[in-house]
Amino acid sequence: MTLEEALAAHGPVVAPESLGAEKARRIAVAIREIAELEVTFVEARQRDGTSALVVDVEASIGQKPRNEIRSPERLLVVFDASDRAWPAVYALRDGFPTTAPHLNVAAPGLPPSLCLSVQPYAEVQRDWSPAYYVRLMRHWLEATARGDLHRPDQPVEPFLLEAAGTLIVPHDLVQEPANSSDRWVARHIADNLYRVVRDNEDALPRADLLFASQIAPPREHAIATAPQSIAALAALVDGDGFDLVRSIKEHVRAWQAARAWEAIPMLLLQVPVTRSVGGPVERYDVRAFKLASNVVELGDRLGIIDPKIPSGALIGAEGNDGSAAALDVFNVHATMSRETAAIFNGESQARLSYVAIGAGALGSQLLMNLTRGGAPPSDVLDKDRLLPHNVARHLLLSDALGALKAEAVAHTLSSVLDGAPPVRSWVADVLTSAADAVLSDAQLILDISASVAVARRLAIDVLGSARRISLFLNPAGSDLVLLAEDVSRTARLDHLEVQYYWSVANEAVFKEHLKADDGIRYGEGCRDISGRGRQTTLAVHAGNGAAAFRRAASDRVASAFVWQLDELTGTVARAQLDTRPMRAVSVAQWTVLMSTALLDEVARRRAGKLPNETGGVLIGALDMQRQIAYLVGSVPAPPDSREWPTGYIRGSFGLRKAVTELCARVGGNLQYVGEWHSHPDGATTQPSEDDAIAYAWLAEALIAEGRPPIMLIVGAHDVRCIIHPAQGALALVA
Amino acid sequence: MPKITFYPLGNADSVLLDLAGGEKVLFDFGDEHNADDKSDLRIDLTQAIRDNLADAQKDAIDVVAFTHLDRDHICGATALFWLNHAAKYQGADRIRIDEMWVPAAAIVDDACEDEATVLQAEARHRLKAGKGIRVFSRPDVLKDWLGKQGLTVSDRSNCIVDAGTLVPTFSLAKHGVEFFVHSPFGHRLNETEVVERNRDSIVVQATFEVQGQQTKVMLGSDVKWDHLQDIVAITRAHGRKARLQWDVFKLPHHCSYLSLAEEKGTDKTIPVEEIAWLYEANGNAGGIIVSTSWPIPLAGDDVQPPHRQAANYFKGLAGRKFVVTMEHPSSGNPKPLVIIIDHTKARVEGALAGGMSFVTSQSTPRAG
Repeated sequence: MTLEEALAAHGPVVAPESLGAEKARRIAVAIREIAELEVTFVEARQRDGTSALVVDVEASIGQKPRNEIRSPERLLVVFDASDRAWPAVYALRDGFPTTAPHLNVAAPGLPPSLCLSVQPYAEVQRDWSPAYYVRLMRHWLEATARGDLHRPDQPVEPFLLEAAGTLIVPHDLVQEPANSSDRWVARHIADNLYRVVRDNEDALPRADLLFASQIAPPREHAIATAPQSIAALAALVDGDGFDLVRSIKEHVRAWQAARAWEAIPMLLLQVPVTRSVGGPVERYDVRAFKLASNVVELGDRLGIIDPKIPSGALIGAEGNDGSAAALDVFNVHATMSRETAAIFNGESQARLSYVAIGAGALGSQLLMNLTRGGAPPSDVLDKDRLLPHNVARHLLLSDALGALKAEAVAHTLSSVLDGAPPVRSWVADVLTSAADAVLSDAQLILDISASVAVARRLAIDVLGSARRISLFLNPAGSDLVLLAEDVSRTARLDHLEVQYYWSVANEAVFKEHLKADDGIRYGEGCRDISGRGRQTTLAVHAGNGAAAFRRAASDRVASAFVWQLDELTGTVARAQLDTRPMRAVSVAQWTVLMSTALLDEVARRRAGKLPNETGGVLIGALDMQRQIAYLVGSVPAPPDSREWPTGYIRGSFGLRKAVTELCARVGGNLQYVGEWHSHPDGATTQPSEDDAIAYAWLAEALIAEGRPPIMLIVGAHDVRCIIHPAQGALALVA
Repeated sequence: MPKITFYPLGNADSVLLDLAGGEKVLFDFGDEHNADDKSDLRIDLTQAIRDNLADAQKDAIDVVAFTHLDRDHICGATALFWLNHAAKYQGADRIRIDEMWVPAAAIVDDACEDEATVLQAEARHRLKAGKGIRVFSRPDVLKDWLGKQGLTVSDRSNCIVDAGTLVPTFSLAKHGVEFFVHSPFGHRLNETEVVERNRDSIVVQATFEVQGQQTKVMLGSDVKWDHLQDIVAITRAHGRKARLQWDVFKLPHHCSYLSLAEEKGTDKTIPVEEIAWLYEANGNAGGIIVSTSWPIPLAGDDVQPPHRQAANYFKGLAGRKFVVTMEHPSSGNPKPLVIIIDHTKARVEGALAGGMSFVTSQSTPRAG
């Protein structure tokens, strides 16, 4: 088709004022009257249903453009009278680059078609003006000349203007050559829409569609035109011994032998694309073509099957070159891989490998967020089954009722992305050693179990160097907490947890944070209590939590945050908590861990009262099972305390109430754990005779409770921790 | 939630009633412990009361009732409490008494000694001033003494509480408790009789009400069997049997057989009829009988209470709990006996129940 013929197809030349499409008319008038548009009117054509303009568009083109764009370029703009789609824009200059990005794949013989905008046409109507449209055309020309119209990370998927159908193909076909032994099956989804999957199980595919899967020799750019016949396509891709027609004929003979005469023959073609000749393959341009309406028809067109005797071969027939075998082009969409999911989510982080514990309400939704962002867990651990009350706030649906959460969630997560290894599930109670092997091998452990016991066991008992990150909600479900160990695990999960309680006990914003919710009953048993809380709030936290997990995982240091959602306004506030390392000392059989905040506080109080002694009670947590005492803070000396340079009596005015309120505020996670007092400058931290009496009093009160009596003596240079002085276990820590 | 605390004091009395609204009513203060004797298991009552008030962030006690002025009911009181009548009892760390309850004998008895004299001076001072005191008596008994102060009975009628009436300080409606006065009663202390402190001591029945459930507590002072017999007879004669019912009974006189009958009995004291009726017919199921005393001797025949024969009588009462203050929870390590009163009536709090809060409700010993 000559240029003249192509133009004539748009009807006779008319005066611009008589163009039928309003937008065409307005542009024609505008470019004549507004010199600043720098567009020269050439001619206007009108036929039924379309109005066409030929214009010379000036653009700002550099001396050495990346793509051979010039100024002006002569463009043909074809407006649809119904004004429901973007006008088609064709470059009329002979030699206009045909391989630039954002060219539509046009019918053969038509000039290259520019893809001006990715916006839906309806969305731009509010902004439309002749100048707007001229600017779009100029932008395309200028950006293409600069070579930056196309974003570097944006995969090129040329749009086929007149595709016969659509195939959804596995994403790995874009990334790597298909195995020649792979068999492909198309699942019919809707008219002319198929999902293509590998089906290597089935030796003789009985699908409606049969695939000839081929890998063409590498090219430097994608195919930008739509070949009309197998011969035309072969001319584009053949080379290096690759003979497309011969390969298709081999497939046809095999299909014929399998008596699959009625199936639709398809060609799935991978064209490796390199940046330069002989360079590495960067991706595969995946193309799909319908070769005929059935195998016999294709064989007939290729001259190798007689349609009257479909089972028989034409004796000695080599067949023809495929010029008579027409092609229907299909659009191809690749499925979502981890990598493309990360790109779609704007995640630049390298691949995360982590084991997730807990597939409950928060866990399942948070894991789904991570998975959609390209970061599915390698393993999911949970021991529970999905019960009806879960469905109000769970990833899983009612069709999974009764299923093991770990299995069902792993299955669901595995269904999101294509090509990622399936998420393994472990139906295991993390409180037992059942799952220790998988945890010990983990690179990173995400604890979303909402169980203090699990977090403690993870922190202390489960061996392995994997850093542990814990995410959980407060009882009311309004706040999300993140506790993340540092990579060297110096600030362990349990250290972070007790210090978090101390923040809750003291900071005004956390006054209601651990307020107990009575819960809601879902069954008849005493323990059939579930938390209350909104799915809308949980979704916010599942989103924040997933993002926070990624941030924490990309950082090397420990971190602790609380996000508080105000359900009235939807505002989320973030508070950062103390993550300074705790100091450890072994006393008797006990490990005593002291927070830096506590050591600072007692030192400050001591200095403030010199030359007198002072003191107070110690607040912390006891792990009786593991014999660990966590000391995180103190309640100051009550007003009826008595302080001298040589002695101290800790009073009790209002103390029980203060301690009880503090402990209640943290839901009982902190408690009274002992006493501290200071020694003046010049004195050692050795316990005095009075100290021994005071200690005996403390011991008598606490031993009945089965609790270790803990006394700290704070001196100028050290802090002494005493448990069971009869065993002589004393230690210096500072 | 109201609670009653009996302190382990040997053969001495001190019972603290904590009312639902936080008011504190202390019956007697007999702190006879010896700080220098490390084997003395009796509690340091002075410190215990200080700690109790500090814990509640109070510097005054609402009511201190001295049921009578014997040493085992007042010992140490003049060192702890702020007394209005003399500056020497007004140190900064002394505990103020909003209202003092005493029997009339504490005003008119001329034979007081030592601390009793001081408390008598305080009671007289308050009665003269007409505030901060309730004297338990038939009004006529105080006529002469008031006359000498230039006052009449009607001038001070608001300070005088007669037997058979309720102490106006508290009411069931407002405080969840009412105190019915059994003793001293009217026929005692006529002009010719001398004061006999035990007989003229304060005996009350406290009725608590929690969520509509009533719990009755008899606080028996040190009365002997004949006086107790009179109390029963008079109360029955007035048709007030409900005022003799009990869920908690603080035994009179440290479990003395003399509070049951004249005869001790070989192994078990048999109470006189009215007293048997009081303990057996009027004690509600699950009632708690408290002997504020040393541990019950296993054998022998001690002159001083507690008497094992009397204890055997109480131990033999089916469905009743018998608790000895110096044996609770163990005789080797007695602790205050706390009785909780709630909508399930009275119950003895477990020794561990105070738990960690026990430590923070007390001052530490001195550290050096």
